[in-house]
Amino acid sequence: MKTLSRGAIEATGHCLETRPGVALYAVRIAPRAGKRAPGGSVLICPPLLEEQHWSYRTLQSIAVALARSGVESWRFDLSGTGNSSGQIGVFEDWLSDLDGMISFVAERSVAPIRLLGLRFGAFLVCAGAARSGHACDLALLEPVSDPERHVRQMLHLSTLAGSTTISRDGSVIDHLGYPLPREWRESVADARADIVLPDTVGRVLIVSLQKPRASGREALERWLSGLIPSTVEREECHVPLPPFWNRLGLTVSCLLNDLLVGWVRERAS
Amino acid sequence: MKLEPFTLPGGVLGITAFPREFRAGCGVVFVNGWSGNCAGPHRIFSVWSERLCQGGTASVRFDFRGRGDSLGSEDATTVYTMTEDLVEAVQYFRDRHRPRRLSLVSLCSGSLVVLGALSKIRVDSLVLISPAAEFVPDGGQVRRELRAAGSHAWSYTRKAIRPETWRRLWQGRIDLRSIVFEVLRLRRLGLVLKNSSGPIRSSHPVLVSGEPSAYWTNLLSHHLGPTFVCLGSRDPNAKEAAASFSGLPGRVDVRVFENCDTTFASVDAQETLILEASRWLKRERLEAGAGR
Repeated sequence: MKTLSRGAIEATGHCLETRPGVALYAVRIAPRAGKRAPGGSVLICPPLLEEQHWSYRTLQSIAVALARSGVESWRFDLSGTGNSSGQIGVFEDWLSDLDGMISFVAERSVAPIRLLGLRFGAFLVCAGAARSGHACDLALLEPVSDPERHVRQMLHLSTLAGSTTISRDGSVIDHLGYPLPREWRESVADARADIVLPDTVGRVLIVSLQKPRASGREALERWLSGLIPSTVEREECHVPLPPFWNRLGLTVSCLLNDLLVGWVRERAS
Repeated sequence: MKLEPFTLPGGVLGITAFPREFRAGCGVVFVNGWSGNCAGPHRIFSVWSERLCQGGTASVRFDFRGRGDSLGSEDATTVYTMTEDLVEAVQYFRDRHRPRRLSLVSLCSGSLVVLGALSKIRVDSLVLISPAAEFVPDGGQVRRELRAAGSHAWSYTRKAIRPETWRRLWQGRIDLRSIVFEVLRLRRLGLVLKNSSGPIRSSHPVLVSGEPSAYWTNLLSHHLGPTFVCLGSRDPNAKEAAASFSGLPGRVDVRVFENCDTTFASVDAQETLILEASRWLKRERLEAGAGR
């Protein structure tokens, strides 16, 4: 299919209430009306906290690349992050946010909906699909297999840099201006427990962006083996990119954009 | 609180946050810095918007073209285009919600955008958080920058003759953008120094030569209302900036917040900044209302 010019795509903001008093902010990037292709939609789930901030524009470039290929994409902020309202509560709140977003997108878009998650977002997408049984394809970019360890490392590094402090009673961690309550940390630790994707999941694409150490690779492989049933089609590939989720500036991600566009359109055809 | 996303011509995306009982009251437009998105670093603008709504004030925050969720090429974003986007966002807010009073709150390089836009829009008050002053052309400062850039360039040159560097380059583990940035910075500084004997010309529409205070006086001359400058004590330029701004004519209030960095990156720092700046805005509104 012909790639649309940048002028043939549009971006619109949306607000939806997934829980009482909490408004999620989402952005839809799609071909202008009249140029749609039956490619369905892609819902992009962001990484955690500052990683979302650093990777913002790179994820937007993925969304623009998809839109130029005729696939609409949605990007959203979890409650208590970005432009969404509310406070960071527990991990289940974010699962509710994801469910709400999927329903919102399903009402407004051409099926099927694919879920794409980066880092912690990839884990959230898997946990969401496991809980709700959504029938959709999943794309997991540099997925986090152990969210508790991921959060611990993140907090450890920023504590060394002096950017994270803990309240006297240990109930709240101030991580770069984000208040992380104990309940949230505990719920993230509990979230890891044995999630398994349902058979209704179409395909799972796992994209590694960094070369992991052998031990990291083994841990990821163990997690993926338990996560993905043998009946679900699984595809893995490696796209070498700098870790754009923790560095300033824009990372040129053409290779990744092309891979994802090809993957989405292959299924659509 | 109600959130109302909007899209302006050219693909600028933004959000208006207003209290459910808002009736042509007061409004605030948040202006982000050079990079990042409209939520602000550590979502400071999102949090601030919610607080303002609780006090009956509406606010707008938006992404510049080529930034955040807005469309446009990242490389095409300049202070000029950012100024145009700000003017459009302010106009949109005025046309749609007709606030009685309007204030701008800017962060870092956003202050330059705000000051550049003041010749085209009128606002009632300004809050400048960690305003960027790196464009101030001062001979001593330029020489210091030149020394720093020269040191980086020498370091890169030494690394360039090592085979390991080329191996890392092949593996994509070298940040080429930083190297290009340093080379361009050297070139720019060289040009500035070459022209420093007379008026310094630049592509920026509001840069002038001379003393820093003259620079800011010129930029603020279009603004008839009060200005609140917020600086963090851990900002290395805070002392110099505080002295510079305190000496400006007109109503310029300067506050240095203890144990805060440039972006107020902690819960306590954010809370303090939001509280103090919101109080200042409220006081200005009351004084302006009392003055009528």
